[in-house]
Amino acid sequence: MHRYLARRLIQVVPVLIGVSLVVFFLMRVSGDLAALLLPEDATAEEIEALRQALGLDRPIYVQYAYFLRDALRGDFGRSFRFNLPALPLVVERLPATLELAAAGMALAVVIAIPAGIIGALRQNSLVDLGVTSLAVLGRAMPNFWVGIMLILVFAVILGWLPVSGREGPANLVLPAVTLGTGAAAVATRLMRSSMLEVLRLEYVRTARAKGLPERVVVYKHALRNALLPVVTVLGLQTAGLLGGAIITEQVFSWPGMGRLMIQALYGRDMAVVQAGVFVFALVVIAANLAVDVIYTLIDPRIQYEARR
Amino acid sequence: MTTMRKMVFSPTGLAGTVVVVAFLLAAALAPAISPHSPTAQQPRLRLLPPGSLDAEGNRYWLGTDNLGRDMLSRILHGARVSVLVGTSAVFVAGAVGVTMGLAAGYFGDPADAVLMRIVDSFIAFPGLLLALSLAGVIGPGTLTVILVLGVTNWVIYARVIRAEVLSLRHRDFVEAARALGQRDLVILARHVLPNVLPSYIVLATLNVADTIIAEAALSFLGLGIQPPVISWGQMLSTGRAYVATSWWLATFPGLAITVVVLGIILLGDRLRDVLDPRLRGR
Repeated sequence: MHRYLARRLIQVVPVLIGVSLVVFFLMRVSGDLAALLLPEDATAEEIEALRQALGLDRPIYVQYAYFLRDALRGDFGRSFRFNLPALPLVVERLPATLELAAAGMALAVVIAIPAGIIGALRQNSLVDLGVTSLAVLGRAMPNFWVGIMLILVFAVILGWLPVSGREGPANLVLPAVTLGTGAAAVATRLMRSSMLEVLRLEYVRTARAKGLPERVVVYKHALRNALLPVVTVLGLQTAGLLGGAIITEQVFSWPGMGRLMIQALYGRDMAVVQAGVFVFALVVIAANLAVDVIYTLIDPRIQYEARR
Repeated sequence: MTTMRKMVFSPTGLAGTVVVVAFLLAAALAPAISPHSPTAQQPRLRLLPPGSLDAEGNRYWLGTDNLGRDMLSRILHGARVSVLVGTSAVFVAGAVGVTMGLAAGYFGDPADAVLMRIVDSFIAFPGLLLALSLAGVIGPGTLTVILVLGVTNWVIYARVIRAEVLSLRHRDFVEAARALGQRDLVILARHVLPNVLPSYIVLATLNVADTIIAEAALSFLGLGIQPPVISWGQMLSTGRAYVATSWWLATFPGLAITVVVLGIILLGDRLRDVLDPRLRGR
């Protein structure tokens, strides 16, 4: 297991280099970086001074080397809006975003796994039709619209839940449902088809043939294998979930990284944008690693392969 | 012909086809079929609820927005941007992704290794994040939206096409063409490309759905389509601001997106069943 993890960690290195290249070039596609980094009312002299200070007159690979050195030190420049270093500013908002994403993911799992199992066990029944229809619908609805509709029903009409902010658990409900809907839809569909596939396998038939109760066959024998692809896809969904969090935060004025980044983009506060993009990528990479660890726990075959 | 027939002989495929055709017609005919001007501001007719009549007896079936513009006409015109961005961005992404996938799969390492590392790096970013950061840096607008959604979506095509080509590369008909001394480009164009086409069509169809949502998201955030061009995402953004008083402002544009995306997904799923039986039920 350690060896497997070590190998996975080494595989992260080229991805990190790629991520740094993407972030580096992201700021350069605009043309004049110095003009971009400064507020819009900056004078030509200020821009020229910053260009020299940033080394923008040097060859591009030298610029990248400096960028990489600074990034490794956690230095992405200063936010001119807050007049503070950009990275701590972003990291400070990370817990709010992770809280939202975790709640959305938890909700998706809690809905998708039972719904997928029920759909598979009663294939082609009315219940199954309901499950699959809802799953397709969940995939078609833009999550920010779901958010607005939830506000309309539960905050405006019923007045049960707050519209925005992050003051207590009640504030988390609507954003989490908004974010979780899409992931739940994808996972339900997959859980159902994965369960259907596993239930057709020989070992499940054997388990049934030896007279085990259906409950044991489904939950002890089939479920564990059926969960594998679902875990993989939920892991891959992390990136999508964080993307969804950006817009969900905007709908509910949730004070996370996404909202900070959108505001930074409006104000062209590029140091914050750069730091934000980098931190988001790190979170996705870390989440994918975590999924791999979970994977080794539920699928012992992976460890065997790594040991060989 | 058989493909068409199979499409229509399934309730979901039929429903999807009907919705997509209606959507395309709405986009094409918007100026002709809109009951009112989508942009004319009428301060005295602000925020009329759906079904209202004005003094001259004109009906506003879906109500009016905060500037007194007819919601129905705006939604019909909004379809145009969705069609334009949905298809163009998918074309850009497909052109880049398929080329990369073909090259990586057919020529193998080192091209393959380099491409896969690039793909891994792109996957590490939430797609929307990269798109909106790029849009923010370049400056929002219709062309920007097409470009950034193209640039952030090509990875999907590259991965799928590469995998397909890997399995085709050593098949007899490809080996035979090579043994006959055909050039790589000819083999790719005449023997490999036609075989990856079905996967591409399915992928592209479903990708249009995601692209329409992504465009709406960018425009909702103010980093996508800019006024006076009308987009559903923009309308939703206004709708969010007025949700406490005027429910129809946010409800109808979102409903339009959902119905269109649903139609495209149903069509795409059915296409997959017809064109690519191996993937059935996934």
